[in-house]
Amino acid sequence: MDLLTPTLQEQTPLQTRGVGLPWLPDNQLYVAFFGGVIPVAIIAILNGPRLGMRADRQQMMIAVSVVGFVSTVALMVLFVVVQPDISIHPRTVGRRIQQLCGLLTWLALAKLQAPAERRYDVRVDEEQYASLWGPGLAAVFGGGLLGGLMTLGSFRAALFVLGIDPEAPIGE
Amino acid sequence: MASDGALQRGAALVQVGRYQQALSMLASASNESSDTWAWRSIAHSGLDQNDEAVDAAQKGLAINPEDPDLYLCLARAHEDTDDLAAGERAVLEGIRRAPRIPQFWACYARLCGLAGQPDKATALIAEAAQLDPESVDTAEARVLLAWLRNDDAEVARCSHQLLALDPNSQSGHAFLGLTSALSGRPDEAAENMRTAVLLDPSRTNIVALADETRILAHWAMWPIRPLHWLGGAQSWIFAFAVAFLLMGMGFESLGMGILMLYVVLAVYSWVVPPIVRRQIRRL
Repeated sequence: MDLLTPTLQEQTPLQTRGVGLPWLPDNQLYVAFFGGVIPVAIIAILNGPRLGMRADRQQMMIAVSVVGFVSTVALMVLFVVVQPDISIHPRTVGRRIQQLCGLLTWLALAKLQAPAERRYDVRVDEEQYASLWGPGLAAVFGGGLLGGLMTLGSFRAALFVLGIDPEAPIGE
Repeated sequence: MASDGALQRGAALVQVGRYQQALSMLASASNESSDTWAWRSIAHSGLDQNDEAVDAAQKGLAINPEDPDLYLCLARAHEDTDDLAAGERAVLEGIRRAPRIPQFWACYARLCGLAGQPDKATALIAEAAQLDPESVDTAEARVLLAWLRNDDAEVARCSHQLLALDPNSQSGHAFLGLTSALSGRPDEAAENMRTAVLLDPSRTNIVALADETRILAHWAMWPIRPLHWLGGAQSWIFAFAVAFLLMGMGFESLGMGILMLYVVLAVYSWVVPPIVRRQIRRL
């Protein structure tokens, strides 16, 4: 590695980039809990450039979100295939699976954002973060609807491929 | 001669952290000396007047473009204004003129670390350590890189190494305080932060952090220490996971009790810290 070759000439001060203030990764937990994988993925991926994250880390966040979404569908299909003897309504099970996968996805996304968050804290003298109230609620409702439709569509498609009755009452 | 004396006295005041008085003294030093501008730049940095620090270093370089100290002042001032590209240009100019000064390599390592280039930063630190294994600047850069990597155990280890080299390192005490706070030892954190503030009370960000650690260490914060220890989000997940698990196993009232306790503690954590903060600031 040639240490004296300039590598920072593309760097611009974080506060002059015009991409808006970032959201605290910890606060994204609530979006994950109430919205599931897709809303928290939208917020975290939008947060990447705001925190000044490297491009490869931003791509990893997209990959993690895809894994989270696929896991949600896979767990729902698994539940239908295994049909465990429990007294909980299948829709509730679907909702809990979405929440669980949302939380696990948030954990991974927060971990990926953590180094960038610390860099941001050091580079920007006073901690400056945007409120997640508005964008978080928009993500929970808008992203939640989109995520719900995507999950339901993928879930039914997976059941169809597996030859299982697509009218199984779960995840609606 | 009088202006020489003013320069020396100004430099001495900078070295003991009395930046405002140093600037007053340096005002009567010769503007024709690049050293005057170097010390002014350091004093402005100490007062978080970063644009003025950049300006002073540039004025010094206009007088003596070969002075490596001024390139170091300029690079550090650019780092403080978050202009990493300009900082890199300054540090590379400095290294071209004085490649055996470890401070340049350590400064470049900090810039690369802040830009999210940890591999290059680590290689630069190794280069700096080869030039002078006892360099305080290198030890400080090591602490910062560990912090940026989110490796708190390494931050604590490197901070101890830094304090062994320089027991009066403000950043050494401050980073130790931060790691203590993050690992749920608020009393230790408050003590380290208090020492950091005493070493240089002009650093407003350190003073603010010290206030926060004093709040964490206050007796009224005892009930919510587990929340801080786990972290806000993690404690939320932990409480809900335990409660739902207990409810699923048939211990409905115990699970509900845990949820209620969590809600009470959460409300307590919103209400009490502002009151404690006000009380501490009044003291």
